[in-house]
Amino acid sequence: MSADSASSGLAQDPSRRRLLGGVASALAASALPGTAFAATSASRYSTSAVVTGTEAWVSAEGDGEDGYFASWIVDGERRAELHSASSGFRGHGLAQHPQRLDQAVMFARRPGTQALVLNLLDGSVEQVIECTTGHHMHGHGCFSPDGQHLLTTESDYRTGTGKLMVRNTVNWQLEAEYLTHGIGPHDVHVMPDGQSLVVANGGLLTHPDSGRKVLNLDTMDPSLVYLSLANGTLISQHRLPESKASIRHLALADDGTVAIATQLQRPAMHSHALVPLAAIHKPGQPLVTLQGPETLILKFNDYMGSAALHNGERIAAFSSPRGDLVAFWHLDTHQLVGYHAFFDVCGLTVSRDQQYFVLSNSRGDVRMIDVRSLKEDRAMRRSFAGRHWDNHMFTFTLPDQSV
Amino acid sequence: MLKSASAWLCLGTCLTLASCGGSRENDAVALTEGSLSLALEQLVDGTIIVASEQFASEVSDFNNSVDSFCSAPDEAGLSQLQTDWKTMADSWYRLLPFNFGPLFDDTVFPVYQFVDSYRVRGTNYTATVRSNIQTLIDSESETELGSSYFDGLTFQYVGLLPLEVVAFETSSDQSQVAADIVAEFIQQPRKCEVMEGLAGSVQNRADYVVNGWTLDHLESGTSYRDLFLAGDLDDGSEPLTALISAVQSYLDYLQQRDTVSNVAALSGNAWPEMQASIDVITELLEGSESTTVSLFDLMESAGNSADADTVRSNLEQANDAISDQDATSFNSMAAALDGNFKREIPDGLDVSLGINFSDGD
Repeated sequence: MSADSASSGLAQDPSRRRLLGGVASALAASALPGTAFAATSASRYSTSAVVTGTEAWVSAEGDGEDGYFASWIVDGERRAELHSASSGFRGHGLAQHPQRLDQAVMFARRPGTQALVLNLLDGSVEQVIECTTGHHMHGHGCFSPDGQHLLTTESDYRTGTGKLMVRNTVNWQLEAEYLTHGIGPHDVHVMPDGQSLVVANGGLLTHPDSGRKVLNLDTMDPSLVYLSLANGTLISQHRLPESKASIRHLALADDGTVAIATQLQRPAMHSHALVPLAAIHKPGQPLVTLQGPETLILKFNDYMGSAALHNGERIAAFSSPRGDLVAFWHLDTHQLVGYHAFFDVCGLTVSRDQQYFVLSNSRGDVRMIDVRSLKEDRAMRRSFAGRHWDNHMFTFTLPDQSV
Repeated sequence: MLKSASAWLCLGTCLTLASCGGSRENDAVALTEGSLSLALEQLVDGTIIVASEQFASEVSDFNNSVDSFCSAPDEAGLSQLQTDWKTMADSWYRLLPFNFGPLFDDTVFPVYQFVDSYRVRGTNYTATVRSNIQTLIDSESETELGSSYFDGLTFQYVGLLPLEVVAFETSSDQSQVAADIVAEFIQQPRKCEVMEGLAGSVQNRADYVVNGWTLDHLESGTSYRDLFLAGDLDDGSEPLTALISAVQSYLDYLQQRDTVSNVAALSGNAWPEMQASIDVITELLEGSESTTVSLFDLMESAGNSADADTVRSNLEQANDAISDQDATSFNSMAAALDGNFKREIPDGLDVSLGINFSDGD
């Protein structure tokens, strides 16, 4: 499959160089899962850093009518350019190889059984990873810091067991399985120590025979777990007060603080009780739910779709396509510090120069929220007609000459 | 916005209003971007803005009744006051389905909640309101209880509910006997101060909504009408999507919160309020007297008469439930109509409401 390098058709913008960031981080460091913000937050305060590589915003994209893709926006010679690779399945999360920066993997949305290994320079598909018999993916995965292994969240749907499947990155063969100690593992990241993993066990049991229907609403038991990267040993396990809040997405700070986005299974609650959907976990401390005015919590409509975190400003952002809303909380004070209404927003990342939260929606729109004022920079609005950004957007740094 | 060209092609022989540069009665209508825009313009001007202006007007009439009653409290004045409260509340329920734009002007402090506290999350604040009113009446504070005082209170304490409480029962023992209520107003002049301030505060909100729709939305210098029809909404949504989603959300609220069983308990006005909502939703789809292109017209012209008929049938059954004052059936039909606004109406208009995150990850 070749890249569809169609231009986005954007008008030339004198500020285009700001679009994808002016000041870059150290290339290799920015690619390390879980440590990207640590590296880039330093550059945010050091404008003398050398610009290296090309910033790309990468996302699953498409819809049932036009087809599904992995798509990425890069800063072209004259304008922002959009590149796509057809996936044949609806993707969800992506991960970039920490050494081979041209390589990324897009993971199938539940209950898909494939992952696509992409070359982001030419849009080619280098490999299609297939789940082993009886397994399906949950949409997320990560590389080990040395790039030798890819870990994906999967379920053995015959038993309902949640697993991390560990494949090598040479021929993508399965080398190990780690139990996640919970049902329906969704998001996974390598912790900043490079030695451990944090996994969001969503707690939802599904089976391909019944599509996406949740089969265990009464008994669901979501949890946040930390595992040894080396052997999968359980380090610790944590639960929220509300057992019907499925822990779905995570974002990490360089001090190990984890921002947690949940989705409430309201039909299982049998009440209209207001439930906070976001939480923070710091090493050695209990989980803390993030509170806010009830009108705002209501607006989330029981659903947070993505989380992102700005390490320098210590702000966690959470999106809700059902609520057409992104809200921001301070990581340490746990105070709500801002919000932005944006139709069907879900994709959420931080620009490489650390100046903006980047928001994307299903209409192909991209908006930039200044990380300090938490107000939108309207001059930076971009729209990619006919495109449909899916749940997550990621900021990757590609090798130079990528356009 | 249109999902496919099929709707255009199948109606090749129809006249397209937009291409005619105008409209005439009895013209056949084709589902095009132009005709959809025209329908939106007509329903905004003929239904939504009219509803906001009507509410402001009814609030004004209620304020006049308050002034008249408080100048010389008697049972005739109270009766007029109570009648005007009901009319005002009915007009609110003609506006509430359009809970977007000026009515939902802020994510955290939307103006609608300062008119209708129950709409926020189905919490009945009657006890809170009673307590607060009694405290205000008993207070010996010199604080002037004007509209500006009530404008500064949180949503639980203001809006239609406290006006219902002061107009339909005594504060001392919740008597609903007219003579008792009048006597209390005479004996407790401060109760009229409370009512005048509350009514003035609702007027401020109603005027704000009309101003937003017709003149200036959020100090943009442009009316929400113009922003809406130009597709220039700040949250990036499409106008039709914003409208359909708002009505769908309202219908969901009606049945989820069993609204008919919980609002307007003192006035006994819940069923007329539900009728007002169903009437305005019907008008939204069928059009008003001045409409030349309605949403139902467009659904039918696109070959989606079955979808339109399904919705009409559910509206009819909702009306039946109102006539029978059958809350279970009414909530059931509100749920059915909620589904219609998610499926039949968008499908019938050949529009997409966006990517499907409804069963998302």
